[in-house]
Amino acid sequence: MGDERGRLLQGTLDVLILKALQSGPSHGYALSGWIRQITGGVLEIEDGALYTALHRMAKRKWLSAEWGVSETNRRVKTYSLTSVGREQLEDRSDTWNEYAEAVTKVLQSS
Amino acid sequence: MKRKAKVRWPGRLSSRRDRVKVDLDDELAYHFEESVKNLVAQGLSRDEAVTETQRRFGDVTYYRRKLERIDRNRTAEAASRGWVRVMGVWQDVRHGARSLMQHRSFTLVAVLSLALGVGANTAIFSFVNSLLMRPLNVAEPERLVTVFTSRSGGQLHGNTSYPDFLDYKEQNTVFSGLIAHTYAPMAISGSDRPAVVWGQLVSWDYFSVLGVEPRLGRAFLPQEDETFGASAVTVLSHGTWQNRFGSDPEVVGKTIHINDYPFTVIGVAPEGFTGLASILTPALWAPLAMVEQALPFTPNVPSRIDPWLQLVGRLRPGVTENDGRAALNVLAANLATTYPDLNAGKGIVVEELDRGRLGTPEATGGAKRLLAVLFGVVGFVLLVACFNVANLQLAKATGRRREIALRFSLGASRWRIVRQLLIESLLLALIAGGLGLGLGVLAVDALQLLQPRMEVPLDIFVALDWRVLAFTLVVALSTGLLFGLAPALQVFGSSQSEALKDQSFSASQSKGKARLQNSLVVAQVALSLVLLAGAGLFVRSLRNTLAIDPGFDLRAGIIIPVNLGFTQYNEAEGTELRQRILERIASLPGVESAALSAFLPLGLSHGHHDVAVAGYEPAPDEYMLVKRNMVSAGYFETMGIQVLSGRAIDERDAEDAQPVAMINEVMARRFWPNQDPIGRTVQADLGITYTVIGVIENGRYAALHDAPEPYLAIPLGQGEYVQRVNIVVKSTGDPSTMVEPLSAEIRRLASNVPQSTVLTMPQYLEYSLGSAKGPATLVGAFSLLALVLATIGLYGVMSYSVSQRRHEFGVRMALGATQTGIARMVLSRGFRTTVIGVAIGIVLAVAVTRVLSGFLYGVNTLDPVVVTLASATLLVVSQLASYLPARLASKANPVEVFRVE
Repeated sequence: MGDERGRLLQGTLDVLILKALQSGPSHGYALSGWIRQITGGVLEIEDGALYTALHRMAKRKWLSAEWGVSETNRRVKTYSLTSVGREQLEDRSDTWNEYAEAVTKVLQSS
Repeated sequence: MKRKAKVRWPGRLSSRRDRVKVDLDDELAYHFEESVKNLVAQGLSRDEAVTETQRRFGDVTYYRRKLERIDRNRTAEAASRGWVRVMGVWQDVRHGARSLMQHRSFTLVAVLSLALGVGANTAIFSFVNSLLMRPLNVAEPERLVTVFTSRSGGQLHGNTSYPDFLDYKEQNTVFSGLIAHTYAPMAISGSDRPAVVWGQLVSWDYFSVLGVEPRLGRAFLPQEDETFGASAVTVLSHGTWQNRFGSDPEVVGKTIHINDYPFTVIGVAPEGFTGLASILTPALWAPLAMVEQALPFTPNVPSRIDPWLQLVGRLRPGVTENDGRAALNVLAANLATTYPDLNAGKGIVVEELDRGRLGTPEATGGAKRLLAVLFGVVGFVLLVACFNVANLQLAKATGRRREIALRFSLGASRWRIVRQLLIESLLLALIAGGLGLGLGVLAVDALQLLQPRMEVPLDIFVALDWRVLAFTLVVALSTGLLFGLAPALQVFGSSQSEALKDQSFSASQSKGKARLQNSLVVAQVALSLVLLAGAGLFVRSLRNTLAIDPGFDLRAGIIIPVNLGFTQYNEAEGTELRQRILERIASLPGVESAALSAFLPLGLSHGHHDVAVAGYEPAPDEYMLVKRNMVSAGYFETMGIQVLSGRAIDERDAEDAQPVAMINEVMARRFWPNQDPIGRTVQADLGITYTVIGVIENGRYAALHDAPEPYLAIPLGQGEYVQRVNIVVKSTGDPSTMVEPLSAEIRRLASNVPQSTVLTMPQYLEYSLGSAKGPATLVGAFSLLALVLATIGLYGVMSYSVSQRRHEFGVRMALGATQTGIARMVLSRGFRTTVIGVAIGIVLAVAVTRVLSGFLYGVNTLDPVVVTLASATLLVVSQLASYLPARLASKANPVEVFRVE
C-alpha cells in the first residue's frame, strides 16, 4: 500500500516539477513553495526528495541547470525545461491526470 | 601532449569532485537561508524556522549523499551523450510500443488481420515473381523472340522439325541468330548417384545468341553440332557444378554420364542463368547433334513432320517484331512451295520471349490469367483485413481524443502528435509486415505441396528475393499507414477543448463515426460474399470435373514408368527387358493383371500420328492427326476400358503378325460414319497399314475437360520402337501398399535404369485434377480467411456499439424493455448491416465473377445455388458474431447505469 503510494508520488513529483517549469525557469526553493501551495499542504513532500528529483531529471537532460546570481549577490541554481523534458511532460500526462484526480479527491474529502 | 594530459588528469578529476561538492553546498545553503528567512518573516522564531526548514527538507545527510551520487554520475556521463537528438524519435518509438502494448487486444487483432492479408499477397506475389518476373539473365532480352511453327487446323504455337529449323535459320533475313532447343528428362550420373533431371538439348550457338558467357570453360563450337553422335560434350548449370561437383574449379575435362553415355564437361554456365522457361531449370546442356544419346526418346530428326524443337531468334538491329513476322510469312510460303507435301499449311509465328516463359503463349497466358484472378482474390482479402484495422483505429480514436487534447494543452505541436501517431502506425505495419512475410513463406511451402507428384518433378523455384521483400514492405506500410493513420487522424476533427470534457462526443459526431464503421463492415461483408461466391464456383467446377468419366475404370492401380531412354539399350535389348519386367510384375502376389502402354490417358505426353484412311477423302487442309498409343496385350482389360465391338489387342498380335489397330467411337464415327469399321484399314505409321479389329469407348486423353478426340491404339511391337513405356498394374488390394514392393522389384530387374517416380492411380489422377483442384483450394482458403476477418470486424463493431450504448440499454430496461427485447434489437442491427452487405456483394459478385468463366467447367458464373449458399453463410455467421454482444447488451444493469449518473 505504502509502496504503491510512494511510486505514485515519485512519478507525480516529476510531472509536478516539469509542469511547474513549463511557465519558466525557477530555482529549488521557489519550486518547493509552489508545490506546497498547489497541494495545499495535504501531501507532504520532503524538500530533499524535491532536490533529488531535480538532480535526477537534470542528469537525464529533462532539465537544464544554470548558475546565476541573486539580488542578494548569491549563487543561485535555476532549472529550466529542455525539449526532452517537454516531451516527457507530454508522455506523462496520464500520470499527471491521475495525480490531479488524486489531489482533487483528497481536497474534496477533506 | 599525452604526457601533459596524464599529469593534469587527476587534478581535474579531483577539482571536478570538489566542484560537485561546492555546487551542492551552494544550492542547498541558498535553499536553507531563503527558507529560514521567509519563515521568520511569517512570524516564527529563528530556531523554530531552522527546525521547520529541516523538518521540511527531511534527512539532510541522506539526501546530500544521494544528490552527490547523482551529480557525480551525471558529470561522468555528460561526455558520452550525443544521442539527445535521436532520443526524440526513439522516445516516440518507445511510446508507440508502449501504447500498442497497452491496447493489447487492439494490437493483436489489427496485427493479425493485416499480417494475414499481407501474407496472402506475399504468397501469390512470390509465384508471380518466380514464374513471370524473374529476369532470364540473357543479353538484351527485348530483342529476343520465340518462333513457332503453326499448322492450319492445328496448333498455332507448335514446335518445329529439324529440317524446317535449318531452313528458317539459313533463309531468314531478320535474325542475327536463330537457336533451337528442347527440354527433356535425362538421367545423369558422374561423381555420385544417378538422378533424373531436366536437361536441355541446344543448337551450338545457344549461349552466344542469348549472350550468356560461361563462368568456366567455354560454350559449344559449330563443329560440335555438325556430325550426329560425334561430340559428347556438355555445359553444366551453375547449380549442377556446385551440387554434384562441389564447385570443382578443375571440372572442365571431367566426365558426366547422360543416359549412361559419357559426356565431357566443357564449361559451366554463369550463376543466375537457368534457361528460358520459369518452371524448368536445366541441369546441363548438350548439343542437338547428341540427340540420340542424350534424349530419352528419339525424334525423327530428318523428318519435316516430326516437330520437336523450340526456337528462339535474336532480331537484327533495326528489325522490329512486325518486320520479322512479314519476312517469315514469305519464308513459310516459299517453303510450302518447295515442299508442297510436307510444308503446306505451315506458318511461322513470332512471339515475345516473355510469352513463352511457361511453354507456349497459351500456357503462359493461362497462368497469367489465373495469377491475376488469385491476385484479385488476395487483394480482396487484404481490403477486408484493412477495414478491420480502420475500424479498430476508429474505435480507438475515441479514447485517444482526450489523450491528444491533453497533449495539445500541454504545448505539444500538431506535428509532434502526428509524428507520434505515424510512428505508432508504422510500428504496427512493420510488425504485421514481418509476420505477414513469415506467413507468406509458410503459404508458399503449403502451395508447393498442392503441386501434383509427377514422374520428373518440375522445378518451380519460389524464393524470397528483394522483389518479394520490397513488395511485402510496400504493401504492409502503405496499407498500415492508409488504414491505420487516417482514422487515427480523425482526432483532429473537432475542437480540442470539447474533447477534454468527459462526455465529449456530441450525438451527431458519434453517429457519423458509427455510420463510417458500419459502412466498413458492409464493405467487408460484400467483399467476403464475392470471394465466397468465387470459391463456390470453383468448388462446383471441381465437383463437375471429378464427375467426369475419364474413359477407364482402373482406380486400384499403380503406374510404373520405365524409361529405357535413360540407358543406351538398343531396340532388341529394350524389348526383351521390358517384356521380362512385365512378366515378373504380373506374377507377383497382389497383382491382378499388368500391361504396357506407351502413353496413358491424362498423362503429360501423348503420341500423335497423321492417318490416311482407305476410302476417306480428307477435305483440303483437314487435320488428319489423331492420338495414337502403343499397348501390350491385356492393356484394355487392366485399364478397365470397355471394348464395344470386335476384340481387344491380345497375345496373337505379335510383331510379325498382321498389323492391327483399335479405335475409339469418335474415330469410328469420323472416318466410317454409319458403317462398321471392323475390318477396315488405316495407315497410322510410316507406310504400315493396320486393320481395325475393335472399337473402344471414348476417353479423355490430354485433359479431363477436353472433348473426346479420335484415338487409335496399335500393338507395341507393330509400331515404331518407343523407349519409354508405362507398366500399368491392377492390384487386388490397396494400391499404396504395392508401391514399395513393385519399386524394389523394378530396381532388382533393371538396376541400371534410373527409376522414375512410381505413382498410384489416385496420385496419378491428381495431376489432371490439378487445374481444377488448385484454384478451388486456393480461392476456398482465401475466402474463408476473408470470412473470418469480416466476422471479426462485425463482432468488433457490434461489441463496440454495445459498449457505447450500455447506458441507453439500461434506460430502456428501466423503462420496461426485456432482456430478450434488447438482445433482439442488437441482433437485428447486425442482421441489417449484413443484409446490406450481402445485397451489395451479390451485385458485385455478378459483375466480378464473370472473369472466372474461363476457369470453370460446367458452371454458370451466375449460379443461383452458389450465390444463395454464400449469402446464407454470411447471414448465419454474422448472427453468430452478433450473439455475444447481444447477450452482453441484455445484461445491462439499469441500477448501475443510474448510479454512474
